[in-house]
Order: sequence, then structure tokens, then C-alpha cells
Amino acid sequence: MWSEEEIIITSLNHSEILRELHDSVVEGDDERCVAAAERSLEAGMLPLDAIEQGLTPGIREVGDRFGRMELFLPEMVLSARAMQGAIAVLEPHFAAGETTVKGKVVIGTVKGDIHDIGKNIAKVLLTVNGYEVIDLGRDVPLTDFIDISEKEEAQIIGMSGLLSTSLPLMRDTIQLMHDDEVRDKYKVIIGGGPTSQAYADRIGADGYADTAFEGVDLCDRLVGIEA
Amino acid sequence: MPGLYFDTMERLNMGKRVHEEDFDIAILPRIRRLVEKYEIKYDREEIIPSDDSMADRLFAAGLEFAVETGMWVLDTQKVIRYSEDEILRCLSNLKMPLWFGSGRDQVCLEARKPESSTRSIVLGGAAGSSVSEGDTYTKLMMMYAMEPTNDMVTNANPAYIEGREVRPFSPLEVHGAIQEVGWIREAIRRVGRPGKPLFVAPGTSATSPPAIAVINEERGLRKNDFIYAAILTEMKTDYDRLSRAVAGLENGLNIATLLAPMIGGWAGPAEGAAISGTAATLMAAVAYDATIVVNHPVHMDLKNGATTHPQTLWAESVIGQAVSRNCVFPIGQNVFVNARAGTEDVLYEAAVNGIVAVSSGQHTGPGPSGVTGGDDIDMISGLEARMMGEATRAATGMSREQANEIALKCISEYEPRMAEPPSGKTIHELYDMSTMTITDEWIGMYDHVKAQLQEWGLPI
Repeated sequence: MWSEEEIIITSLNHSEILRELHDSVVEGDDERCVAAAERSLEAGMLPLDAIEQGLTPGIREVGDRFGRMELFLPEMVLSARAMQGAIAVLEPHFAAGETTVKGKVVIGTVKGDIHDIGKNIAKVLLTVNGYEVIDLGRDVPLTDFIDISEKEEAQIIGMSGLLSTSLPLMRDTIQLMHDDEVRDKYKVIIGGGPTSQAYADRIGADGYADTAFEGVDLCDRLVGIEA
Repeated sequence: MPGLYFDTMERLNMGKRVHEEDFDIAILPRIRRLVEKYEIKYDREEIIPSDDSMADRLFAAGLEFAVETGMWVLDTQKVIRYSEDEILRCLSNLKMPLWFGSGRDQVCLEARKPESSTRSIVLGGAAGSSVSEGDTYTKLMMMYAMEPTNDMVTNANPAYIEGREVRPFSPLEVHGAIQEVGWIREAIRRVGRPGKPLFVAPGTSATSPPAIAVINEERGLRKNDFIYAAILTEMKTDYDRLSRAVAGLENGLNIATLLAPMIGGWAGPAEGAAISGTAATLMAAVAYDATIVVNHPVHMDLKNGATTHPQTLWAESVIGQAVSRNCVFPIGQNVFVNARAGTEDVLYEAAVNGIVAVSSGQHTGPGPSGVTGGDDIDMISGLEARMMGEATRAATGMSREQANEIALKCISEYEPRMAEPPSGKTIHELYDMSTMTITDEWIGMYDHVKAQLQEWGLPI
């Protein structure tokens, strides 16, 4: 049994470590964040507590500040890197069956379109909100969306584009999924300048998001997590 | 030759590999340092600043950023670099005025400064907006060509070609681009303006093969017309964009370099986008040997790329002022609207872009257009370009202070609906397309907005 004094010290340590996890994520300091994750294990914290009470509130603050334009894309990327570094330290210590990953998303900008900033924002927001994101980049052949989703056993395929010429390729991808008899295995979402809910409905996508933030809510709904 | 495009080809594969995300992340700390060093400050109440000193400081910041950052090449993952001396030598050797088009449709592009009474060029068109192919497309182009304020004609995006959707890198993409420029040529002939210069990025073409395939003296882009070659956001290029530039230059065309500094993106706040946009403008002159830049700041909050957000208007103004006060390299302002045709909002958006551009030492257009597609077709008409052109002419020579007052009033008209802009009507609902006659409702809106602008002091 721990003495009352030991419990108070441990609690203080835990609270200090959680603050450090939070702050280092907000500041995008990956070295500090990894060190704090290591300290949390040494202090006997449960890895999931370190994530849910330290890292997650930090990254949520980053997302909120990004939405208010108090922080910008590069800073959010650094925060995501810091958080991922800490999770890599904590993950091997999860109990059997424990996970923080909501689902796996394969994301990319379709063939012929090199406008990828919107997709990059979506990638970071999904990552910091608990998704494993496989980023195929820009100018992605439609077959890659399917083949890599199959290989990675993803749940969601996200296609993005800014040009109006990108739209038919989103429909082609969905058609090819039907042809390959894999359509039912994935939720397909679209986003970007010329896309709309009406177009998503017309081509048989499972969802459309107007912003990257809405994209996170959409994925949550599609994998069965209520906001 | 002022630009160094031939050297650019040499430099594409020089130096060490730089990973894209490392290049992107390095931008913001540099921007923050320059914003502080050069005291660049966004002011919501001064969309068109009257501060010459800040304009000159922004030019210095843009130059420093261009030299430090260079331009990342997607295909080689290397960074093309130019020295300050190379950039300044290029700018000091630019020639003005330049002439485009032929016969009585000739257009003179002159160097302008903020508040200058020198005539600006107005580019009417709808690049980015999906329009039905054939007759609708041709008649929309006729509307642009007929507008007396419009100096050049810019394309729209045909939604279909021969009833088929166009895929990038497909043969139909090449066919569609050739068809599209053919419709524009037909349009300017049908309104008796066959010598009008064209300023075209075929809307069917996402890639360089069709963009290059339209270079054709008989029915495509001719010597001294304009072809687009963009700089990617932020400070990036690729073989595709540079191939368009090389093809254009070696066939005697002019390069129009589109750039889209993003507010909220890799360069951070509005001040950062202004520095990045100024730097990219200088890169366009040096690396692409461009004749003009088409500046199109975008805002993270507006997914359709509208340039009518107060912060994008500010960025357009200060980039225009910085560059026009310090060299003769011309900047046009890509006008993308948020609302659609058939609304008063879109007319205020068209007007404010013209006012901001011309009072800030720039040229107006191409535009006004908007990103549409899918089921969202034909939501554009010629009347928005008339408003943009007339507002530009009316604000020519106006003080920045007065232009700012009018601009703020325009913004207050549409800003409350920016998050959910009015959906508007199609060109078929706004015109009798057989005779190209504007409906009473649509011209009534136009007259109402015009009267309001007059009341605010714009001699339109």
C-alpha cells in the first residue's frame, strides 16, 4: 500500500507529466513530447491515460486554434509529429486489445490534379483525431486508391481535387470498385473545390465534407463514432 | 532576354534533395521573422492601404524570402535558387509598354503604379467555372468579347466535350482543349473583334499536353497571345508547369503565371501570404520569363477559392502595390467570386475586386469566375465581367483612401453571407440565350448595384 504522501507525490508527478505532454504537443516540440511519454511510463501511468488526458487535449487545442487561425498548417504538422512520436513510445505498452486508432484512411488528390493543400489539412486533422492516414499524395492514379486500400486494409477512401476535371475520376474510382467487387468494403468520401453533396450523391460516394474539420466528423460517423 | 528560363532548366536538378514537408515547414519561421523585420501588418479597416513605406518594405521582404526560399521542384525534389542580383537584373531589364492583339483590337499593357490614371488591362472570362459546351460556351465568350471595357478574353471550363466528361491525360483532354479555343476564336470573330488577344488556360486541360496543343496560328493561340504556367503553392514548380512555359516562350506566346498564396496555409497569416505572393511574383519573372502574373490569394475558410474575403483583397492590394512601386513587372488579379450569377452579392464582389486591383497599381482579371463543377454548371454570365470592368475604369486614378472606403462598403454588402453565399441562377435563366438579351430581373439588379456604387462616390 502507498502512503498518503506517496499518493500525493505520484499524483503531482502525473499531473506535471500530463501538462508536459499537453504543452509539448501544443508547441510542436517532438523531443519534449517523446521525453514526456517516456517519463509517463517510468512514473507508472497507464499509456491510454497519457494519451487521453495529456496528448489528446493538447492536440484538440491545436485544432481549435488552427480553426481560429491562431496557429497555421506547419505548426499543426509539427504538433501532429510530436504526438505521433509520443504514441510510438506508448503504444508497445498498451494492454492487449487496447487501441487509440479509430480507423484507417487512404487519402489522395486524384490523377491530373496537383492541388493538395486541402488534402494535406485533412490528413493532419484526421491524424490528430485518431485516424491512421495513408497519404498517397497528389496526382494519384485511381487504381492506387483501390490497390493500396486493399493492401492496407483501410476502412475509408478519401479523394480530393480542386479542378473540375478531377470529378469524373472520383466517379471512375467508385465504378472500378464496383467492377472489382470491393465497393462494399470501404466508405468513400470526397472533398475539394468543385465537389458537393449533390455530386457525392450522384456518383454514389458515402460522404462529402465541405471542410477538413467536417471531414473528421464525417469519418467518425462512417466508422460509427458519434460526435 | 530578361528572364532566366533557360537557366531554370539547368537548375532543376542542382543541389541536394529536400523533402517536401521539410521545405513546407521551413517557410513559416522564415515568414514570421520577415513579418517582424519589415513590419508588415494586416488591417481589416484598410483593405487598400495608403502606406507607400509598407509597400516598399513588403517588396524587400518578398525579395529576401525569394532568395532564401527558392522554388521547390516536385519532380526532382530539389530547390531552384536565384540570387538577389539575378532577380534585380531581370526586373531592371523588363520593357514596357507591350502590345498584344492585332488591328483595332490591339491592347497596350503599360506600367502602372498605385493610384495611377494609366489605363489598366481588363481580362474578362470565367476560367474555373463549368459551362455547357458548344453554343452556351461560345455565346458566353461573345459576351466577354463584346464588353467595351474588356481588353482580352479568357476561357471558361466546358463541362463536357461531345457530351463526354474529360479525364486528365486522355486524348479527349487534348481534343477538348483544341475545341474550346476554337469556340473562343469563333466567338471573337462573330462579334467583329477577331484581333482581340486571348488569355487562355483551357478549362478542359489539367495537364500540359492539351495546354500546349492549343498553340496553333490558324485556330488556336497565336503568337503574342497568353498561355498559363502556374507557380504552385507555396513557391513550388514542376516539369508540367515549366514545360508549358517553355512551349509558350519558344512559340512566341506570353506567359501568364498564376500564383495562389494561401492565407492559413504554409505561409501562415495574411501577412505571410503577402510576402510569399510577392516572392512568387518575382520568381515568375525570373524563372518563367513571364509577361504578367495572375495573382490569386486564397483563404483557408473559402474552399471555392474566392478572392473576395477581406484578407485576400488586402493581400492582393499590398502585393500589387509592392511590385508596381518597385518595378514594371505587371500583375493581374484573378477575380474569383463566392456568390453566383443572378445575385447582387456577386456584382459587389466583382466591383470590389476591380476597385482594389486598379487602385493598387494592378490590372484586373481574369474573371470574375468561381470554382464550380459537377452538377453546378452555367452559374455564370457576362454581366459580372461588365461590372468588374466598369468598376475598374471608374476607379482608375482614384486615391487609395477613397477606393478603400468604397471597397469596405462593397464588402459589407456580401460579407454576412460569405459562409453560405446565395446560389444564384444559370445563364439560361438570366438571359434569352438565342438573342443574348439580359432579363429585366438581372439587369435590374445590375442597375441597383451601380446606383449604390455611384452613391458611395464611384463614378461608374
